Amino acid sequence: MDNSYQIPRNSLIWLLVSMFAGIAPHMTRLPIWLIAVCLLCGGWRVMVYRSRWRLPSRWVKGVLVFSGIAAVLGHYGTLLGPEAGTALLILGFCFKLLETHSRRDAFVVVVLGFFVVATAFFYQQSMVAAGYMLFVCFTIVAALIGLNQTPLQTHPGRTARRAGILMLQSLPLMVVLFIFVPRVTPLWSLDIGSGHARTGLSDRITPGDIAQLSRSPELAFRVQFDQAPPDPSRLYWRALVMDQYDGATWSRGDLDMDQEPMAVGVRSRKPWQSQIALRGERYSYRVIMEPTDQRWLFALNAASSTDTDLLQTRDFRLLADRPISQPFSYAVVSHLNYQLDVRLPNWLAQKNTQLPAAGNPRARQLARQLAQQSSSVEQLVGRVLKLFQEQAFIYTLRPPRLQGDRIDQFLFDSQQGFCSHYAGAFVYLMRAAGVPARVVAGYQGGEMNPLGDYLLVHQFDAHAWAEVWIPQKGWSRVDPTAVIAPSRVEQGVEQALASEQSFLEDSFFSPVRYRNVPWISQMRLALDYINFAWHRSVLGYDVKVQSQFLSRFLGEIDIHKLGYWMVGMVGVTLAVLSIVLFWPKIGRSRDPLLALYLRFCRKMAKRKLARENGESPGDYLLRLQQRWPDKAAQLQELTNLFSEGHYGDQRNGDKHSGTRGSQQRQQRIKVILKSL
Amino acid sequence: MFSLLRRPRAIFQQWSEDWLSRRLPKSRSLTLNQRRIFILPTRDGLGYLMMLTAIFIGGINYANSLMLGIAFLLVSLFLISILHTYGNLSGLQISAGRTENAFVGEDAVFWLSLQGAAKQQHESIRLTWQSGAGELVDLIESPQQQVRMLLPVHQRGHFSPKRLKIETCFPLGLLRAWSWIDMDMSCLVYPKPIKNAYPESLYRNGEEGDQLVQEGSDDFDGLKDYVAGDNPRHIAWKNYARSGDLYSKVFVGYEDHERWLDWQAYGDEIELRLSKLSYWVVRLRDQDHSFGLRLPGIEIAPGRGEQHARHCLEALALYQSQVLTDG
Repeated sequence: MDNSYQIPRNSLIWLLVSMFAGIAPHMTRLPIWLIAVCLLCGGWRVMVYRSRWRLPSRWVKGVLVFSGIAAVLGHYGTLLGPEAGTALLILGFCFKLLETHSRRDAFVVVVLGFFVVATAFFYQQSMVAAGYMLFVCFTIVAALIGLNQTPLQTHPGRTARRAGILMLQSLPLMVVLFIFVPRVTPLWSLDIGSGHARTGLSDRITPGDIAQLSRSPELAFRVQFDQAPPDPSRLYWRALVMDQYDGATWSRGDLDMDQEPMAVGVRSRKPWQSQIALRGERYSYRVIMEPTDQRWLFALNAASSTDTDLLQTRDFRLLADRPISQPFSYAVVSHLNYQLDVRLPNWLAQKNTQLPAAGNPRARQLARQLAQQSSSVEQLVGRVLKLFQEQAFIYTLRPPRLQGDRIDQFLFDSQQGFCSHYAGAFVYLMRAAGVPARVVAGYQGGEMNPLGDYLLVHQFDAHAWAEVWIPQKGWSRVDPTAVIAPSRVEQGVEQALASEQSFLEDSFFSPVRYRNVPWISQMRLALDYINFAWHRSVLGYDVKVQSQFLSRFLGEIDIHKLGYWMVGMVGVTLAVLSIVLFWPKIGRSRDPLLALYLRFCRKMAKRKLARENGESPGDYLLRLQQRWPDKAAQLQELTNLFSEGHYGDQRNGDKHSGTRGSQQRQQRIKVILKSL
Repeated sequence: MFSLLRRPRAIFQQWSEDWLSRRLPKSRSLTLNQRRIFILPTRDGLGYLMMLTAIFIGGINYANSLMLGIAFLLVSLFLISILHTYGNLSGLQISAGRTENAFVGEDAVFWLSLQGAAKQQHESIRLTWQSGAGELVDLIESPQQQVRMLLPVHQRGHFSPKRLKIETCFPLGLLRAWSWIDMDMSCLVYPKPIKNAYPESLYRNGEEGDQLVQEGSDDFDGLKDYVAGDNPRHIAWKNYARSGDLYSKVFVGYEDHERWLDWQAYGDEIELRLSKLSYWVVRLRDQDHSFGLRLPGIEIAPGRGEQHARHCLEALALYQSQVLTDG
């Protein structure tokens, strides 16, 4: 094979650095063999540089490429999608390293590095990740500079300095572009699954199985209220409604509420939608959520939104038009006094009284009994809650396992459980008594961060409660857990579990676990505040946020105005930069000899004998000598040195005749200048 | 037909040449500035722009702010590198230096002097003449550098090179800044020496009864044992390498008399005659003989040495010639 082109040393060093730095963040996601291939290719290239090995022959490369693609296909089951795509990109990057026969090939390798950086942002968007990627970009720029240096330049440090300067100068311009380039909504819809499980809500609840959710300290979402937030006991963030029970599991049923016609745009004015914004106590806020890979959103009932791309479902939830795979923010308006489905359609009533045909005889018996004693639904609800309160029910994250007639076992035997046990049993009893009811899953409460005045909702705030349909009132929220463990609702799950010590017992290193240690808590909140600012102002900088932000300074914004501002700001930034870059050259004489002579003139001018305009050095010399006869010789020599150097060069056009001579001349002039 | 097709092109070339000569007139020394530097993206640069567009579209479609951020960073790098690439040429002073004459078919040497702007490094600057190889220059440690440029010459007479292209893609290779400089430099091109026998007519008509030690034109006669004091240039190194013994080459030369190289002694057409004369000038110079040169209208009195030979070669080069360029 042709080995004629060698990537210059400076470039190769930075290329390898950037390659490994760029692939490192993908490391945990990539299969181990792919990392081995990367190392092999990098090592091979180094050996080629050291002339120990040759570049692989055509058929070796063919085998490598073919088996690489086959391995990716075998590993991911597809060649498409971000996961497999990233793996292919990285493979291509490594293989291209072994196929550089020209400067252009080397350029392609370098530029692929930028792609690898860009794909990393599919998975990581934290501030730390962004900073690290900026470093990777720096190494890529260094590799690119190395590619354009002469082979004489072999000092990678100098190349890096140059790259650093370029990067630093680019950053202000990047910020300007980031702020001013008009954001547009996606041109076409693309979904990326993260391919790995995320912690979060599940759309199936099986009371009696092990509780996992309450133990994760991860952040679910943040909320920023435009006014003082409601009392913590009213913060019920609805996400899912489960109206089907099969004897063990509560689930979302056969009717898909997330599809047309059960889910429609927030603006589409279906009759049932008009019930939402009815009464006062209006709260407007913005939710900034972590990716869930699900479409459901979190909001306080009854919720609507000013974001026109959101959907509303028939069970009054907010929904995104595609799975949330990136940090996502949306605006919500909630009216906490609501009346929903005051006139309940038959099909919905039926759906919400559904129970398995048989099972849990004791619970059914109890429900019938209580219903007979009650004159209204409200009374029935009160009696059931009283039952929970009076009997020795315990709130715990370590309930015993249930099997068979789970509701009966829970209500009459174990009497231990957490939110989903209580919500499930409550809804079962209601339905058994013929009252429409359903289980709602979401989050309850949250932690205020005093630094930014926003609410943090963690995964351990996940909660399940019930909604009961009451005649003339419509759907009403009932939280049976609040009756058994009031502290769960008022102070959060941590207080409710204080005696049990099971709060985040698996997350030993999570700072959230040490919320009650003041300095850890303060540090954690400060860090989260920075992160939140990052999410809101950088990651969440979309069409809406941009127009909001810019209209604060520039007044009403449209795309034309934005375009003018963008061009103007880029121009100003470039102008400032070019002044910085070229300033040393402006107004500075490039002729050192002339500069020295002018210095001499200034020195003489201070002694009250200035050179007149247009006066030749010779005439000036005569005047100077008359004034200071004792310095005549020095003055003469200096003027001669200047004249010879300055005018002699111009006459002969013989610049190169004496670089050394001209330097000696300058030295001599300096000496004389000092002596004067 | 072809001329019809060629005309617009020729007109364009003429126009651009005129335009260039107004902007960049012929000079001995000039400093590159914004009036003289052109800058455009390279093919790599266009590829780079396409790539960042792809990242930008990805950022839009995945609503990924950081991906957009990378695209913006790449745009910024591109814009900044316009300034840097331009700055890499700007302020550079190029001056004409010494030239070295050459024979037809050889490379003439042109020395250029590059002087960088104060407190600025100029890196990876390529100098090329339309014909001939380019030179890569760095001005990093010292602000000044002499560059030796080789340029093949094909025609006898005065030679002045066409415009010099000075270009750079540094630092990122995404943009190329360049300028066309008309350097006021020229050299002489001597006729290509063509080997030939010393014309017999010259022996008979020789002025001072030249006799040859031996008939036969060729100089090399044989080898003799080396004796200390023999001219070291005559040592037969090839034999020494083979046998390990030192021999001196014996030359059968003409007696150390003045010799005349006479135009009239040849019957060939002009260029061939000049080439043959050129051969003898070089040969007699190398053997350190005294010789004179007669051309129609020109007579150079016999003499010896480098200076004399140069004088003769110049006369040959300029014989009936006008100024030629390397077209």
